[in-house]
Amino acid sequence: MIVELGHFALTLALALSLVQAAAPLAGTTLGDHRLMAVAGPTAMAAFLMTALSFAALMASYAASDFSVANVYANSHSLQPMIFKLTSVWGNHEGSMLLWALILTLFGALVALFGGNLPERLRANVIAVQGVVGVAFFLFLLLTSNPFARLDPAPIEGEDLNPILQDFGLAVHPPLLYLGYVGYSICFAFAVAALIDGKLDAAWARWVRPWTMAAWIFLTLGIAMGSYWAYYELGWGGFWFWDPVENASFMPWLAGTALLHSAIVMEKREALKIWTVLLAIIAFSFSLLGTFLVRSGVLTSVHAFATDPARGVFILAILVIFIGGSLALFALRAQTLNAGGLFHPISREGALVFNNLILVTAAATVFVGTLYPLFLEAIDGSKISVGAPFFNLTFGALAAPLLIAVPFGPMMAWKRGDLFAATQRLFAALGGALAIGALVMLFVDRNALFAALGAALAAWLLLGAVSDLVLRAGLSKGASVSWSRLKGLPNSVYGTALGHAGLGLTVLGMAMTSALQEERILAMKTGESVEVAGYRLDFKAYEPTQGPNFTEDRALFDLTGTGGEALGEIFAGKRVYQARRMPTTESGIRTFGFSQLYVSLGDPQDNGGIAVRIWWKPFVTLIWIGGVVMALGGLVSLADRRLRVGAPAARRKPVAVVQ
Amino acid sequence: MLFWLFAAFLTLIAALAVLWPWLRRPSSPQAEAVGDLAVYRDQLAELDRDVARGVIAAETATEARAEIARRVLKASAKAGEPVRSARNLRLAGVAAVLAVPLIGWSFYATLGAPGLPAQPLAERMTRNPANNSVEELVARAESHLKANPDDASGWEVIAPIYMRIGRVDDAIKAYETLIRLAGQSADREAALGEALLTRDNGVIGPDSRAAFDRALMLDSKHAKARFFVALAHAQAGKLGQAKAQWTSLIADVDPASPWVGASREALAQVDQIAGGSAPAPADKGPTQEEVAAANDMSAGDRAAMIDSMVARLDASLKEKPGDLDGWKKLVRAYLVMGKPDAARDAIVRAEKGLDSGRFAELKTFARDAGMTGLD
Repeated sequence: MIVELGHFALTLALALSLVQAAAPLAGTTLGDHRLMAVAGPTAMAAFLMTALSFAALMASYAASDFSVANVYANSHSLQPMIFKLTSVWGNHEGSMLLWALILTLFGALVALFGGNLPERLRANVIAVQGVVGVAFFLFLLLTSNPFARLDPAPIEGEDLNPILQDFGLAVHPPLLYLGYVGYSICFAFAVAALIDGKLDAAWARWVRPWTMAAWIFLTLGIAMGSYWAYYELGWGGFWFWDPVENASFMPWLAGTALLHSAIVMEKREALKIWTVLLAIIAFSFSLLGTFLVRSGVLTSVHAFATDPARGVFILAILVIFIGGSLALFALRAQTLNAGGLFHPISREGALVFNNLILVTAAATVFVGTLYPLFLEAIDGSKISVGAPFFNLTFGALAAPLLIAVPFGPMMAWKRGDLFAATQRLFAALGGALAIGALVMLFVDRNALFAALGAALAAWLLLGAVSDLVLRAGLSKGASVSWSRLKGLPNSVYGTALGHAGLGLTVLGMAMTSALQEERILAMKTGESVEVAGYRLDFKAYEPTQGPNFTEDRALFDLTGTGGEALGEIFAGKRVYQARRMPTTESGIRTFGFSQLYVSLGDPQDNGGIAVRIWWKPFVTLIWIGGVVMALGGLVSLADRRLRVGAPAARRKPVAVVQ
Repeated sequence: MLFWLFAAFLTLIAALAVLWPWLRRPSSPQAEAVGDLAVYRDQLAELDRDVARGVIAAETATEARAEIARRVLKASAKAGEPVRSARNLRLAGVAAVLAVPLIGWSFYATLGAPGLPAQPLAERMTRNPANNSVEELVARAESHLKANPDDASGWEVIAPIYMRIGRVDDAIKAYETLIRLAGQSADREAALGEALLTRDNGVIGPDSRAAFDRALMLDSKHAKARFFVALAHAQAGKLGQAKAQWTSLIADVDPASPWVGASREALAQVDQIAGGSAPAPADKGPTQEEVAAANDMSAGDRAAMIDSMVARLDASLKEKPGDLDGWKKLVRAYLVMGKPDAARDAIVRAEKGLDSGRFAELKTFARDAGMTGLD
């Protein structure tokens, strides 16, 4: 009965979303307050129904109810409970239900906390959110119903894809979806503004925190996904420019741009139209990502099932939402007033620079990701656009942006002084150059890339510190500085943390890419190998038994650089019984920020086994940086102040451009 | 019934949510620009707090205040505009409320399966065995054996079932476990050999040959082992040796034994090979393709396949009622399939074909296999 109630609740959620979309829009058109007021309670009820539905599916997974086709196809009675539960979204139907759940959750949150929004804006925002909901509920019920039943019920499930049977699945998709779907709120605000043809002051106040929240989740989701791929797939890489990764990276780039332009918008009421457009673009990339992953256009771990009907349906959603909102934008953009003026050399100017580069970078990734698909559709030829293309184009775009980052917070609003900002960054610049030279001289004389990377990372980190130090005012004595430092608003700390996190990630990437050591060899038990001063003695190769898999484990004794014993490290190869599918389990040992990474290959003819060992210096900084960035976002989000951009007084007349 | 009650309750909640604005007094409508003014007022207050905290300098604050003041002026100009009068659209409200049950129920009516109960695995495992399918019975036995891996009689029961439903690898493991736990016997070793050769597409490899040899060490007259050892010779090309062994097998064992017929057929085939008209004989058990096919089948198809196998066995026993092993297989099959009545019927029919000693053996076997209510 629980399953069927879940199914029924899902159909009710569709019905509620339809009302949520239609009634408030009718209300704002006809000027009826009651119809507008339908938005709030309906959005909350839609969330309640979706949550019931999701809970019912989860209960079916927990009880291994194989009369539900989705449970049968994606779980196994012997899985540990945690993986039974995460299997709920480890498949196409369940993950779309999670999408819908988060979508309705955000709709309900706007309804719950949007009391201080102007009535019409609130009604329109929730209605647009409802329209998105209708599309996804229809998609669920018509092409990907998670509640399809089997009669008679099979006795055992087909198990979840073994690669997904990992704690990563518990964290990565929900975080990523919170990010993706979070942009739907920004989108709803943008479209609501376009529908009414006016941007309220409250608009900017609302869009920034939502953008920030979505961005935090997306950042964490991508960092988590990257670390998961790193340890689970056994290739030792952290980013593969895989189309599916790019699908999550594009909304991140657009969202980062949106985040910065929303700041300008809130503080200075400038860049309004651009911000609206960016909000549409960010959500469009989220939808595009969903389309790329869910339609089966791309073959990857993420493409759970391929079904042309789904592809066409998602394509239709994509065309309607992206095309519709852009058409509305073209129609209404002139009626929005442009807002504040600023000089090109100013905080606003720096943020525009950031926006231009981020959007260009997103476009580059977009082209690189879709060009092969496009070419295949035209003449059937298969090409792959890989890391070399992205490293070159994306790297070339990112470098000037990274150099510019520390300048931004140093500039005054409205009109700034580039020379003064450079003077204030002198210490950071000197430090960065010194660190680059040190790396060149003492670590590796041939590693120009490592030296440049380290210098750039130091520049970002020291730039962030300089910002805080200068704001505290060093020259005024320790106690004054301290009290001023404490008095700084959270948003200043958020900025510093965010930029410093970026520096950490750059440092990790540069060090790992330039200085990692790799050994690939065939080993037999009793043999030993040395990597980066650590010695690994292949002690044993033995089978072990997991709940729903068998694993062959290679055990190594680890000896440190000074000859001290560091215990065991083991890597394994698993075979999951139900799917007869092998996976690798890499053995990872962390030393400070660096890691020793062992992964097993195929058994060799001579009785040995292929072993790959990497020494990855500072590799964990890549993800720690991501977490620090998200932390910065969180600190900034906790700053509940209204944002007022205090412009610098005009000292000498300058030409003001619009 | 309970389902419909809950469904109606959910519908009620959904409809009430839509109806909510009509259930309470309307709040007084707010001028649109008033919201903007409130935001700006908050911003001015915030600016004062920032100055008080010393976060921004006084002159910058003045500049900012001037800018906000400009925004306030713009917004106040609009604040005087009258609010559009609200019309009362009762009909639209009624339509919105009715849309919820109409859309929800019509979608569910097309897509749902309200009569189909949930089937959590744990509950299915505790149900009366008579209502379980073969697969469920196997799963029950497996979970029992997972909890009691040393229960030899459990392995003894499940091993032939594995063979029958085509899970040959599991059958091999079960026989190996059984031999480890309960010790060797000619029957067990021969059954293991048979499982191994089924896995190898009917070709007798070194491991299955070794199993048959062990069976013959324990009982040199064991018919199944002798048959397959002869087959091994035939497959190795030693046709003369094979023929001699089959001939002596036919002479030795009870003429009602299935191995007599099998040996005769094998002999005929060997003669054909001698004449150069047929390939080397292979085992006549299910081929790997058939086993693989069974694995790929859906639950329903597999049940149908088992049904037809059992029906074939039943029919052949009508012609050869003296085949004790056949009767045993049939009774066991019916018990496994959850058809105790059919098993009882088979025992009644077997009484006519078997002598009293062998019939008693069949009854003992049936009792051991879990049959109740005999005599």
